[in-house]
Amino acid sequence: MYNNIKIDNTFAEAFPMKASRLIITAHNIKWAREAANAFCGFATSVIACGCEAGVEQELKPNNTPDRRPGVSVLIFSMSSTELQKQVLNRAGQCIMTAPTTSVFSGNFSDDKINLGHSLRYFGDGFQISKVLGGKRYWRIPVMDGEFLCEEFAYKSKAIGGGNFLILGDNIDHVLKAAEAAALEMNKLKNIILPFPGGIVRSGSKVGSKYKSLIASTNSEYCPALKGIVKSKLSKGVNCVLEIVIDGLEFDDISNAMKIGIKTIIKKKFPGITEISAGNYGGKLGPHLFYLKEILK
Amino acid sequence: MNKIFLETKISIKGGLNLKNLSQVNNPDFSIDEFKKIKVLYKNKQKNLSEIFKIKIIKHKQSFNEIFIDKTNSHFEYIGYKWTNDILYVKSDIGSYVAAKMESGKIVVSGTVKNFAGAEMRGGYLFIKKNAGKFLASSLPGKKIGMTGGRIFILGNVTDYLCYEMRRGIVFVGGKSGDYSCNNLISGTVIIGKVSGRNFANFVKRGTIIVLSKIRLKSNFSETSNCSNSFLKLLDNHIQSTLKKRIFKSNYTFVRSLGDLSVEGKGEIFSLKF
Repeated sequence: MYNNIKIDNTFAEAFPMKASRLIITAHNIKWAREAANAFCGFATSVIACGCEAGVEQELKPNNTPDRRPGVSVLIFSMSSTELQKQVLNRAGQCIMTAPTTSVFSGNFSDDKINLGHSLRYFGDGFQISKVLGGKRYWRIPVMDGEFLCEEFAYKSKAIGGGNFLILGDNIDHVLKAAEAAALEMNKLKNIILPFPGGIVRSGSKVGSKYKSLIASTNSEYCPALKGIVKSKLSKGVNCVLEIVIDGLEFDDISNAMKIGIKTIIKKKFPGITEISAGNYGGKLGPHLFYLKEILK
Repeated sequence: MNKIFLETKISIKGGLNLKNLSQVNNPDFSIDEFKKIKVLYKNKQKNLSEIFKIKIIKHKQSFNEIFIDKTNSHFEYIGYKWTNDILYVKSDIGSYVAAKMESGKIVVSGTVKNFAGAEMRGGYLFIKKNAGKFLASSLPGKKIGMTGGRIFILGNVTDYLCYEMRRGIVFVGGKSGDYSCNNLISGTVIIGKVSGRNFANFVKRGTIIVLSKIRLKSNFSETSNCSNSFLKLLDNHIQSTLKKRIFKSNYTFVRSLGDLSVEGKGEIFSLKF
């Protein structure tokens, strides 16, 4: 027990993913944000979106390649092929279309993802290539001037699905605690919280009674099903919210979970009774985040 | 690998061809053979040890560092087809420095003569003073100029700068002479000031940035300058090398496209009048 909050003796189960970091810059931070938000739209879960994406942090002009205000985004997917497809489609439709933007890779590895290498064809022969510092950039003429785009983004190994559950007596209390945790976690680098506002209510279990579905509602944690299913919720628990974390390294996720949980414990939110985590008995992925070890 | 110090022990009064010095770049090259490298002095073959006092110190890095001292304008072909290693030249040298250079780095503290970085393919050439004709151009009788790498010159250059250049970056802090950037195929050239005649004739593609005001001929057409992101990226790149910003905050660039006489799509950025 920490400040009257029970920490379950359980673990969060995460799985390997592929990730890429992009840096989006623009004439001002508003348009960098707009492009980043569009890029990260409909990217909450690989279950049906193809990828999970989120804003990692906002960057000051002296931290971006072209000294303009920027936003770094992380995008995760289950396979290299899907990641390549998602990055290219989203960069083409969400970044190139936003006024004044440019896009650069934010990480480096041997595995390339086509970015400008494919998007350049939009220039219809008027595109200009420039090699600076060993990297090729494409300048594609567009109606507000030029869309500057690095030739490749890069993919690296990553981990998706780190999580913890916040259990409490009502939605007001649980939402407040989850918001505070998400706020602190969003300040960290190398991780994203892919769900809206960083918080998810529709946690899922693997499989369904319907054969065509690969995931369905996490019935053990649905307060409305207490009494008719084998529930993991005790008597006073009437609401559960989950925070899901995707990160580049095991330690990034572990640290984010620690900060999120400790924020809830430290701020002594009323009505919060328990912190737990979602897992599938170790069958889903090789990365296990034991709550009690994380909080040590 | 090794740190090698070369200091001339005789007064060099005629052409000294140091093309073979680049043998040291070969990873299989035995350092014991270094003193026996053949060089041409006044068209006579000599061992390197007959010209230079040689001192070799082993170090842990994966490349050689070579320091040449007491040079003059008779020293030619230094860094020809240079790869991997770093070469420091402490005073003036002659022509063909870094010609056909492929990788590595060459730093010249003095002035160089003609054909510096001619047909260069990669690597980094840094010249602290001035350079002669045909910098980053094609070699005599050839049609293809520099195809990669970076050349940074803090001083002035004379005629035929970047003639038939294909790729790479050239930065000239000072002035350039006649026929600068003629027949440019591609690449990026930044010049402090163009003082010569016949600038940018027959430019096909590529980017030329002039950090001063210049009146272009009618074969260049003024267009909108919407390349803010690219110019800032380029400025950042140059700043990371020179440790100073070259595009001042009050600079307003005009962008022109041409050479229209050869249906060129090259671009020239120059300061607004």
